[in-house]
Amino acid sequence: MNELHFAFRIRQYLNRGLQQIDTSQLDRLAAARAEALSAQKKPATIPALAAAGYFLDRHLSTPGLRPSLAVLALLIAVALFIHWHSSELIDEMSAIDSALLADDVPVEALLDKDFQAWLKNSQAH
Amino acid sequence: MAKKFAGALILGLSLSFSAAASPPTSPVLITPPQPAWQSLNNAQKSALAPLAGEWDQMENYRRKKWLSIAERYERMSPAEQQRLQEKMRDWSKLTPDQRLAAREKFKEFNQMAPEEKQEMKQKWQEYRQLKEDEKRGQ
Repeated sequence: MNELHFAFRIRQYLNRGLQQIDTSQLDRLAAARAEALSAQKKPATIPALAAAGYFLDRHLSTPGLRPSLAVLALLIAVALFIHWHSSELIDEMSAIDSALLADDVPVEALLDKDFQAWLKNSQAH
Repeated sequence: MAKKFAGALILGLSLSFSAAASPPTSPVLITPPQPAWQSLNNAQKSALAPLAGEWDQMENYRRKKWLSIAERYERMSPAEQQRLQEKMRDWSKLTPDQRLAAREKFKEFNQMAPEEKQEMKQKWQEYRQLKEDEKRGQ
């Protein structure tokens, strides 16, 4: 009996043994396999931003396009800043104007430079 | 293409810097289109009634400011509401520089003690009387 023949005989015994496993043992093996598969670590999903970055990297690598995109992004940022800044100033004006107009101090008194000078002068004496 | 972008960028930057450096009355303020008089709701029309005639010719940033004032108007006492409406039209007729000067003066006024404020109002009445008398004397 040479080595190859010996291996062949072992294989035959193993195959015969497989067919002789009873159903309860087969069920336990199937359950254990299913459990092992469900516990297997799931592959991580690619985050949306990374996917977008990958897409841009793959599709927008045309020379000249990247600087334009950077300029466009900067322009959008500048426009947003101007809009935000304008809103801030308008809110500030609205707060001062409503307080000023609702107060009983006359606007003319605030604007009259002669009165301001006269007031300072009269307070000095 | 790139040159156009660069031009637009320089324009944008210069606009933003001038907006930051200029007084609040500057027309550089970029405001999205604001509603016409007909589109205002009843509360806004009632609060801003003295401005009805000039509303549709007003710049967007000023309309936005007045709409914000109309919101504050609802929370004011009746006396404050009345004073606001009485002064509204004259205020909107001032030049931007005059409005700016009045705001600066009002900030100073607002920091005074109540008795100082009262004194200034009394002095204003005295001053006006003095001016009236001077006119009559001439």
